[in-house]
Amino acid sequence: MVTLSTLVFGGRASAQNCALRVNALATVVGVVDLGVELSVAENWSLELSSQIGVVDVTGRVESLYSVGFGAKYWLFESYVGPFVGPQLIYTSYDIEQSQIIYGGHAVGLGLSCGYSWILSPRWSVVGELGLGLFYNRDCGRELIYDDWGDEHIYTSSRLTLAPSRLSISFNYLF
Amino acid sequence: MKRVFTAAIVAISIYGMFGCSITGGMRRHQTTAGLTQLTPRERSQSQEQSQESPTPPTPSSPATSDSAVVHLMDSEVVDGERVGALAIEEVTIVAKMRSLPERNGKVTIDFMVKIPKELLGRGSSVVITPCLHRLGGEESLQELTIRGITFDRLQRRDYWQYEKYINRHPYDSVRVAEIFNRFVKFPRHQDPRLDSLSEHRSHITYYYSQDVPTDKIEKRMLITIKGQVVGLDKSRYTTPPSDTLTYLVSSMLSFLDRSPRYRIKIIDKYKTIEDRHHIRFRVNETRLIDTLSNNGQELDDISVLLTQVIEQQEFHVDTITLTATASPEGGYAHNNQLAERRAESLRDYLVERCGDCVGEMLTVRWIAEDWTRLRELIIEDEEVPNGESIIKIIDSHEGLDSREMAIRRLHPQGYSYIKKRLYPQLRGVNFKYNLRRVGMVKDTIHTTELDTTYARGVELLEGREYAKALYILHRYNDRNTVIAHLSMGHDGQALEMLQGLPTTAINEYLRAIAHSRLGQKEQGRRLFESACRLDAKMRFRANLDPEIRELLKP
Repeated sequence: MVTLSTLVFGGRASAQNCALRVNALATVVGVVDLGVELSVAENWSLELSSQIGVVDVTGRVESLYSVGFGAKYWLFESYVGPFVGPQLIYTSYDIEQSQIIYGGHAVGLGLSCGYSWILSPRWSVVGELGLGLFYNRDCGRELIYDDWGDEHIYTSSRLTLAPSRLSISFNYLF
Repeated sequence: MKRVFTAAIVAISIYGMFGCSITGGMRRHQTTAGLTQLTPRERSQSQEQSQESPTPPTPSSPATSDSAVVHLMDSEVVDGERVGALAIEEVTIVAKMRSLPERNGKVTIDFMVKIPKELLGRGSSVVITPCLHRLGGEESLQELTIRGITFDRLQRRDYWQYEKYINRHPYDSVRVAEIFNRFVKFPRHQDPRLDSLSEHRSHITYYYSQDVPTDKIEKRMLITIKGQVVGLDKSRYTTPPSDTLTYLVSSMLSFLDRSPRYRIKIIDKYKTIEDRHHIRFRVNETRLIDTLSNNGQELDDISVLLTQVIEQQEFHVDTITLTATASPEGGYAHNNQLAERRAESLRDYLVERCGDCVGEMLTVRWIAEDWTRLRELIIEDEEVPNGESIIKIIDSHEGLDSREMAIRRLHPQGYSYIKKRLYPQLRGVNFKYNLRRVGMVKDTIHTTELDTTYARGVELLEGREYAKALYILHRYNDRNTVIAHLSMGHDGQALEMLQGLPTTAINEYLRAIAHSRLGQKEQGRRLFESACRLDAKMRFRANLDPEIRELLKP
């Protein structure tokens, strides 16, 4: 991802600051949430993030792969203080809900806001909360079904309002 | 319903972030920093603190003594009636005006700056600059900066980023300044008096003390403070004008003796002007050559003075005597002839140049061998080899030619030195102008005239240029000299001088001050009492001088 961002922004990356972030909150529920951020102007930064959830703490079979691209407007300056920003998210998931496994993908547009507390010149803690509108297409299968009975498959495409961001992450600036 | 609620929260938080700046609240409430004089108790405390530690005092605990605080203590029942007992704490009224004693051309102004908590925020920095106003204009004193935690960390990160970048890319100074501006949005203030972080949102009280050189004319100094809050969102807020503190400079100059001083001038009827020049002649020649050596310049000087003396109206010229002298080199008879002819040739030149009237006034004399002058020169010049024995030879030999021969024979080295270095100085022309004041009958007149030098000294003293004033006044040994000494801190000298002065209230008072400064309290107290006996007003003056206040302390 670092290579990607370097490729995208070329030599300018050296003048700007890059940040790597790890979402501590997601780690608690077994999702690895990593992101790389690049400051492109005094108050603007771009972010590329991905979430991979394979280990389920509850022992259920679930998986989550997600890629997001977002921008942030910082009120003070990049990586300091409050910010707000939109993001575009693509998710592929398998989620169990009331004995039905929904497998599918979703595309969404979210808006989030948060705050970054500086700990030291290199480190800061960022809290972020966002809400997004997702377009889901998935197919639900019953987890347990009668051998003799019919297997119900629920295919649906719908719009959902869901949290696009929920994180308390540690940022490392380099 | 839940979704609407969530959306509302998001909307409010976005408004909260964009809708108002960091300094917006301050601007609405017109928050400003306070400025107060210290109460005597606070002053003595802060002075004790500063004596303990030489570093400037750090923000002290909130001061409350400038406000009256009333606590309802408890109530008791007396004859069935409830009577409230109020315990009133000490109420101190602090005047906005204070008089400062001037010492060594300086006064120490001090005051409290109170920065309310509303001005202090995490994401902002406050810069408080005390301003000194006086006749000459406005002067900013060292500022106080107080930064919020977030502001400080951002500042540090900016500097870190800048340094990191500069280390990676070495640029020239122009580019470096550009890069600095790009990275560091909030540059640190240079050399602030106080640079602190406000961790808690409570107000800060700072004791500010500063030595200020006193103004030449203005006795009044005003202090105001300017405050500027800078938020991380680049919003700025300048605090409204603060209270003004007034300081009056009380110096010892009020004791100045302004009465003019006269000096006696003696006017003589007769006046003599003497003038010496060196005119060169060729060896054994008497012809005056104005192009030889420095002759042209010397002759010009002679004729300028001569013309001035002749043309002035104040004096009548009695005589002008021209005395030509030659060196003892060679035989006396020859030298005598040479000197005479040379003197005459100079007279002829001057008559030709300045007119016939000069010829009438000029009396020509000559000294063939100027042994008296030569003797003086040998004594003055320490480098003459065998100088002392040569002097002895001069004193013992009567005959002038044999004298020269003896020196030449006995001390050839000394003779050659004298011939080379001292003889040219002997070949000169002396002019003596005898003048008489026109219209004056008595020989001398004594008149008094204003001593302008002294007046200048007093003027300098009033202008607080003590060193210069003392330079002039030190000869006069009077009260003004004492004041100059005391203002410069020469207490011992002042005291010595005061002992020779008459016993007046002011002199006794000044002695008391000098004793107090030298730590002799008992004598000081006695002198102060004596000054008060002589003039009751001195008792009121005591409040203006810390030295006397020190004496009166039990």
